[in-house]
Parts: sequence; structure tokens; C-alpha cells
Amino acid sequence: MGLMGIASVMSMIVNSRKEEFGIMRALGKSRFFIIKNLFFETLVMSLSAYLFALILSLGILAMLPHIEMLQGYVNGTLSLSSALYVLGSTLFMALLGSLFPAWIASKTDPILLINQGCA
Amino acid sequence: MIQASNISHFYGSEQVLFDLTFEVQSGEFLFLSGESGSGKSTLLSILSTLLKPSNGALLLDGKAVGSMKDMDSFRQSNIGFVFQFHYLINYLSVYENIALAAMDDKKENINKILDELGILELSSRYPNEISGGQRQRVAVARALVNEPKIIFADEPTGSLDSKNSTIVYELLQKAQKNGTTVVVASHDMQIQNYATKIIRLKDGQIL
Repeated sequence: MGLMGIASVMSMIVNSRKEEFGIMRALGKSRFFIIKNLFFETLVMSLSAYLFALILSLGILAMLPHIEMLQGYVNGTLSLSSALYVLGSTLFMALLGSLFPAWIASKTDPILLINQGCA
Repeated sequence: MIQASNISHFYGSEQVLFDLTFEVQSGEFLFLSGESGSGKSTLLSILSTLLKPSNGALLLDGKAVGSMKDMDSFRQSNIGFVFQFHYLINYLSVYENIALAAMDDKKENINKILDELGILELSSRYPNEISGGQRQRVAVARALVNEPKIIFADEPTGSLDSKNSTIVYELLQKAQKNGTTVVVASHDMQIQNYATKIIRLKDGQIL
């Protein structure tokens, strides 16, 4: 569910930028330029979000043994393989969620993108 | 030179342009006039390569638009646009908006053009920090930066007062006098004073 959420949010972000992509295409920027920029933006956003979540998770896991009322109810560990799996799947879903609608948009006439963005 | 042959366009099943054929010579100032819904914005979008026509052929500078391999590059080096609502990118400064459009060897033109248009002091500001008239002048600067062969403007003064409208028309006229072909779609009849050729559209047909 979380991974679907990531793809869905990235897709919404890209769809809300159709007007901007239309303007760039009208100014002569290539499809490759737009998709390349979006790829790096998505990478930076996903890695930042992942690092924030990882630090938060490790912090909470470190605190858990010191909270007496949770003992016996809540515990957990985070293995390296789990962390890498989450990293890989997060990046994959974020890139899928952003690049697929961007690829569809890149095939649309610029003026239609601009008009869709205004709608 | 713009050569349009039998241009037709449909939105879904509704036909909005009917077999339009005409030519515009290099260096002309074409005024596309007509009421709302006459098809002038659609025609302008097709002429400026932003929209593929449903039928017909378009030649820009002797090149068939439909068969171009690198349309984006052709657009960047040959065509400038001025839209009604300026369409500047809000998170980029005035300078960056123009730099986004500029080809590498034309970036040195940016400050010169901003100076000519009297907006050099705005170069570090963002679109939401300047007035509507100033934004439209930035949009004109962006259209001029690559010294394009053709400038297309769709209702370029639609959101401006008469003083700022005159400034924009005079900028477009200056570009035309320097050899650029200018095509303006508008319902503002004031453009007649600047145009060298007028095409009147009604219900998707040339009158």
C-alpha cells in the first residue's frame, strides 16, 4: 500500500506540472530534456524522503527498549536487507509514478499540455 | 515564409478549421482576426507547430513540418511565442525564464534584450513579484532571445491595459521591421495599425 501511495503521489505531482512541460516543449526543449530533469528530481526527492524515514525509523527503534509501557507489545529490528529492499522498491515506484505520466505527456502536443494544465 | 495548404482540424467529431490555404511572406506582420470560437487560436497553434493538424500540409521556411525529425530543435531556433497569459515559470526568475528558452550561443543576448525592453532591473525577480505588463514584456523578451525567424502571439495583449498593449505591439512591430515574420491572433482591432496582412476567420473559414 505504501509503495502504491508513493507511485500515486509522484504521478499526481507530475500531472499537476503538465502546463510547465507544455511551456518547455513550446520553447523547444526536447522530450529527453524534460524526462531527464524529472528523473533526477524524482531521484533526489525519493532519496531525501528515504533517508529521512530511515533516520526516523532507526531513532524510534533505538528508543523502543527504553519505553517501559511498550515492552512485550512493540518491538522491532531493521536489517540491512530490509532497508535495501525498501530503498530499491521506493525508488522503483517513485520513478514509475513520475516517468510514466511524463512519457505520456511528452507524446502530447504542447498546446494541449498547456491547456490541460490550465484546466 | 509560411505556406499552409488545406489545413483542417477536428476536436473529436467537431470540425473547427475547414481547408485553409494561404501564404505569409517572410518579414510580414500577419493579423489573424475573428470572434471567439472562429478558430484563430487553433490555427495559430497549428502554424506554430504546437498542434498537429488533422489534415493538410504546413511548410515553414520551405520545410514540411510533418516530416521534421527534430521538431523541438527547429522550434527553439526558428520560432518565438508570446501567449495571452505569459506562461512564465513561477519558480524561475525573469532571467532564468529567458535563459530556459535561449540556445547556448544566444544567452549573451539576454541582458541586451532585457535592457531594450526596459526590464533589466527586474532580472532577478520572480514572475509573481512583477506586474502583468512587465510579465508580458518578459514573455516578449523570451520570444525574441533566439532571434527567431517567426514570432507567434496569441492574444498577447488580452490581459493588458491599452498603454501596455501599445508597448507590446510596438515591440512586435520592431521585430518585424528587423526582418522577423510576426503572426498575431487577436480580437483586438488595434493590431490593424501594425499589420501588413490580415486574415479574417469566421467559423473556421477564411472570409
